[in-house]
Amino acid sequence: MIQGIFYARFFPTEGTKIYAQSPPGCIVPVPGVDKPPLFNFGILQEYIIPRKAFYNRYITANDPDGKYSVLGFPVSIPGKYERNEFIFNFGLVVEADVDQIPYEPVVRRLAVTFAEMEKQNNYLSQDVRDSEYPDRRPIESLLEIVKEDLNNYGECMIPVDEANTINMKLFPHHPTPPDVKGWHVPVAKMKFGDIVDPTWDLTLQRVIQHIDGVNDVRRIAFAADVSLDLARLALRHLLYYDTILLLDIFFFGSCYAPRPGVHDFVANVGGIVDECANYVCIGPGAAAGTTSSTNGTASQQQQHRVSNYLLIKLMTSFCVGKTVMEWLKGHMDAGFEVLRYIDVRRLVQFGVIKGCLYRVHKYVVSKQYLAALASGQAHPLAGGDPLQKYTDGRHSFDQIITEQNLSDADIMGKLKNFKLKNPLAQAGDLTVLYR
Amino acid sequence: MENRQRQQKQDGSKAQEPATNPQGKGKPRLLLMGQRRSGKSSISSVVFHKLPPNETLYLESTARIQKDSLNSFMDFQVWDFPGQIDIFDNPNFAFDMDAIFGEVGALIWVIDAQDDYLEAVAKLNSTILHLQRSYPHIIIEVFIHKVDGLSDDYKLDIQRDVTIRIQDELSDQGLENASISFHLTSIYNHSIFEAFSKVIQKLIPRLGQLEAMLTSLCRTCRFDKAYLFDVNTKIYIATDSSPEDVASYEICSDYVDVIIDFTEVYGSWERGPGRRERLEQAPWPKKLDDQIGCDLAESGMVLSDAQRPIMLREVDRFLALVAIMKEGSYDKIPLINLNVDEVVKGLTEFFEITKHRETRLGGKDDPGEGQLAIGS
Amino acid sequence: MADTDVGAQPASMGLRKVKKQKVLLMGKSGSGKSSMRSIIFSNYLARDTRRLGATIDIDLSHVKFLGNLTLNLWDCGGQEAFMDNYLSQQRAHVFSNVGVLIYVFDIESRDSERDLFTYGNIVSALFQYSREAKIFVLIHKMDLIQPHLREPLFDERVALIRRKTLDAFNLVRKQPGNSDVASGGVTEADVEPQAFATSIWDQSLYKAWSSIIHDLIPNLSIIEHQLATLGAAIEAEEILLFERTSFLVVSKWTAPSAAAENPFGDRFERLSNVLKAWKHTCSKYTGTPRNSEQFSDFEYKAGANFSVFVTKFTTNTYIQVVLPPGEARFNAAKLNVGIARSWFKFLDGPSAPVGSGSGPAGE
Repeated sequence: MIQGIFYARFFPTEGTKIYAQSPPGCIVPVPGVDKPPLFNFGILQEYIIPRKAFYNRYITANDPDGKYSVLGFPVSIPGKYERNEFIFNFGLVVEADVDQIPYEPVVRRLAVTFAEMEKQNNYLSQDVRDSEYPDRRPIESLLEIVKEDLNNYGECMIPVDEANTINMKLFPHHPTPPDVKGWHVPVAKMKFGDIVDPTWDLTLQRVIQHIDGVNDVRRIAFAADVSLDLARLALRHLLYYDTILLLDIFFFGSCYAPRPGVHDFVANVGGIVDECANYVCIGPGAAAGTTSSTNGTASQQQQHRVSNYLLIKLMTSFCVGKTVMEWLKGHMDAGFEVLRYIDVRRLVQFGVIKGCLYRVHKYVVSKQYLAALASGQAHPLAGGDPLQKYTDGRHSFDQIITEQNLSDADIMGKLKNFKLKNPLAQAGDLTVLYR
Repeated sequence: MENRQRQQKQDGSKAQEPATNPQGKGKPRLLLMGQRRSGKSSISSVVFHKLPPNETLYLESTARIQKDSLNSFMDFQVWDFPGQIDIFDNPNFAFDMDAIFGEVGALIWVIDAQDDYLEAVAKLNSTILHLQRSYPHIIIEVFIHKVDGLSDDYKLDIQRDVTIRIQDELSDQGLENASISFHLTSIYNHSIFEAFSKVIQKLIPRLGQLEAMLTSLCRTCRFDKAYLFDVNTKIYIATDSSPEDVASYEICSDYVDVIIDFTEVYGSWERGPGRRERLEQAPWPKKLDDQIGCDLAESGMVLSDAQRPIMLREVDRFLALVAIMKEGSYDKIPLINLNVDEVVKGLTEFFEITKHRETRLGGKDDPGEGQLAIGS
Repeated sequence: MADTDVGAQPASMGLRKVKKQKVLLMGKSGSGKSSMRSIIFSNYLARDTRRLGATIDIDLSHVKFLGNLTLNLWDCGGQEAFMDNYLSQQRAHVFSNVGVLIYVFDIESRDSERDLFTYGNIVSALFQYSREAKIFVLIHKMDLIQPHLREPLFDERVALIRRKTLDAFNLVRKQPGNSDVASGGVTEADVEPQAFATSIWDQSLYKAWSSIIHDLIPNLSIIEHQLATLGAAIEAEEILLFERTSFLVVSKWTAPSAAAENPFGDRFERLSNVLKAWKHTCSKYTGTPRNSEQFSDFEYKAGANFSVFVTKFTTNTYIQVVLPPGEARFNAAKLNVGIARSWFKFLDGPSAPVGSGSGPAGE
């Protein structure tokens, strides 16, 4: 929220002065307004019109109470002015704790636009209160519109004179999203089908049809008939706007392990276990994969709802070195027909999304290959096994699986042969790591 | 050398009344003409009366002809013509053309480059046409003035434009080869002095010999550039044949200023009595005249940049030789001094001869006397 | 100055510690504070100062002067908003530990009543926080006044300023919390401001600043004493010591016999001005920066009248020696000045070893 907006000028005899402000009295008191200013202008004025070195830069300053931030961009225009330069600053006052990043382009735009208008026709240095320009909008009202429009609509479009219009928009700030890999599995956070329209990017339109929480990126690209790189780019866009999540491919051969977040699950903070039950429980006859919200199915699920105790037991029994298959077998042996009541893929997904579980990746390392890399021989066995390049410990099995189109077991089998094919390799050269 | 400055100032005030001095006859005359407010009086005040340029703002406009006489190696008269008088077409008063133009050496026409100069150019043209009939020998010099603050390109554009306008007009009238030169000038830098230097040089008889002397000195002593300055006005009356170089002229001219200031502060007043006797006692019991190396003023300055020396030597009451020496040649000063001595002797003789031929002014001036005649 | 009876005492005796002097440069906006500072300390030409912008708030600069004196110069922007700030929020910060206040008045100011009022407030604050500070008042832009009106106008202004200063002083002294002003032994005579008429277009600026600097130089008596010893030994008529960058006269000595003779009382500031202008010419010619050293040696022998030389002396100074005519005298003096350099080593900084300085060779 913009608390105040002001236009400050440096006058050759008076010094720094607030020329216009909105709301009135927000920076310096004006007669007729009882509300005290937001902060003491006398203290902050040296940051509003600072010394030369700071001209033409974006500057922020907090008031001494730490309540407000002043965002400004002092501009100095050299020229035939009284003291050889015209110095001004259009600034915003926002609460100190809000994200200032969206306001920076606004402040810069105000500075650039008015500096340009001053250079074109001395818009600022003419005395606008002169009756000579009766139809010109006073700067106060201009500032007020900017503030109100940005606060209420997030954007503004104000014609200032025949040649210049101030167009501004507050853009939410998102960090650069991480890279999307072929073995990631995107999960939609919203229903794309409802919001998509024909103006969307064509690749994007095709890609979103295949996001179902099961398909990995490579498979989506294949199914949508777009190149893998384009599919990754499209998904990255969705990631930027925070509309998808990225997970790993689910294999029964993968390992998962609890994270500290599992405490919340055990304590059922915010009813997380119930939420989980709704998502993962299946009963005989209940269609897997859809969580219908109709009352009928809800009551049906109710009948097959697994107890919280069991769910927590299931969730906390994942551990490093135990594949999902082994985990499953353990519970089956203990007499709980997991597969009858639980969608295991969904349970794992839920655990990962909620921060209760993390995926333990599997890597393979060849000491010889590492030694060869370290000694500078990048390709010690050129033309050797295609798996060799993955044996530096930096490539997870997920990658090998998607890139080589092999199953986990295939890879393990090949790795065993791998030893035999390379006479130099000693037994025990390859190690499989989980982390 | 010293009292000249003040003498000049007095001359300036005296010059308010027209020079009735009979000696005025026979002196080469410089006429300053041009539109009103083109800067004629400012020029003569700055060049001949040492008025600081920024004080020329207070000068009142000239109402009548102002005559300054300039006593130097040659005696000049400088006449400042009020711009508002049209001498060729004046119903109230008929000017005596011969009295004005009869002895004119050069006519300097001043054009304000920061103003609309078309009228000035037209007026100059008509003046030239008038003069060419009766006084064809007059040298015409056009000062395109007040060019400070104009960009270099713009300056040259103006110069080209003015030159073409004047030459076209004159050739239309059948005057193909009138001798007209153009100078870009400003009182805020050295350009006005340079322009005057060029004008004056045209009036010096046997300039070629002077230049040859300086050129040979430069060759012998390995000087970069040598100038013969008129100390009062800082106009240079001759230089060697190496290419013109504004920067060299500026530094030499400013060096003359430094010397003038030191001379005035320490040399323009009488020391207490008994000084000579005191100085001729121990530890140097010799006649003072024998103690000194040279009875003319001599000076040297070593610039930090590349150890480049500049030297100055007084030639006579009015003239000084200033030269920029080659880098690192300061050690050779004694040798150089010998050469300079010879050239100075030569120059003195040169002026003796030309002066006697020109006019007979006063007696022979002893340069050494000039040095000590500080009574004022 | 002429206490020649004392032998050449070791220069280290009585050397005061390096002291950072806080010098406040104040006055109404546009009165020319930054212009004069740029001319004196940054080698600006007078006409270049037209390009300067307004000073925002306080421009701090540490001007190294003579190696062992660092001027802590506070160039205070004179806009009303800043002035109010100095007197309120920054009062203690600005006005404590002040060695010198230089207050600049614009002679052409339209509202001299108000200027005086502001001045009163400033000196009151000064008396409150730095009661021993010296006050210099510069009546500036004198070139804009017709010459014959300058003196009366100056006298009139200075009288008003004097009265204002004393009023402020007495007011502060009477305040109950500030009785220590009186007990500190500061009297009305001590706060009397020194006034100068100045203009950036002539030497008057050098005269004013030379006096200001003169009061700040530590070890001045040692410098003067040694200059006198040197002058007597080489039979000079006059010796001037210039600071290297500003060419302000740091110290001067005139032979007792010649003291009253020279009719040019303004010669010191005039020569500062001349040599500084020459520096500009050199810098233009050589294309080197204005602040760099421009010439190392200058000599001028005016026949049988006088001789003078100006030469680099210590790292921070140039020395000018005026001598009676005579080649031998001139050459001996040059040699002896070279020898005397070691006496003045202390001018280059507190850490430089102080030469014990054997007497100059008589010949």
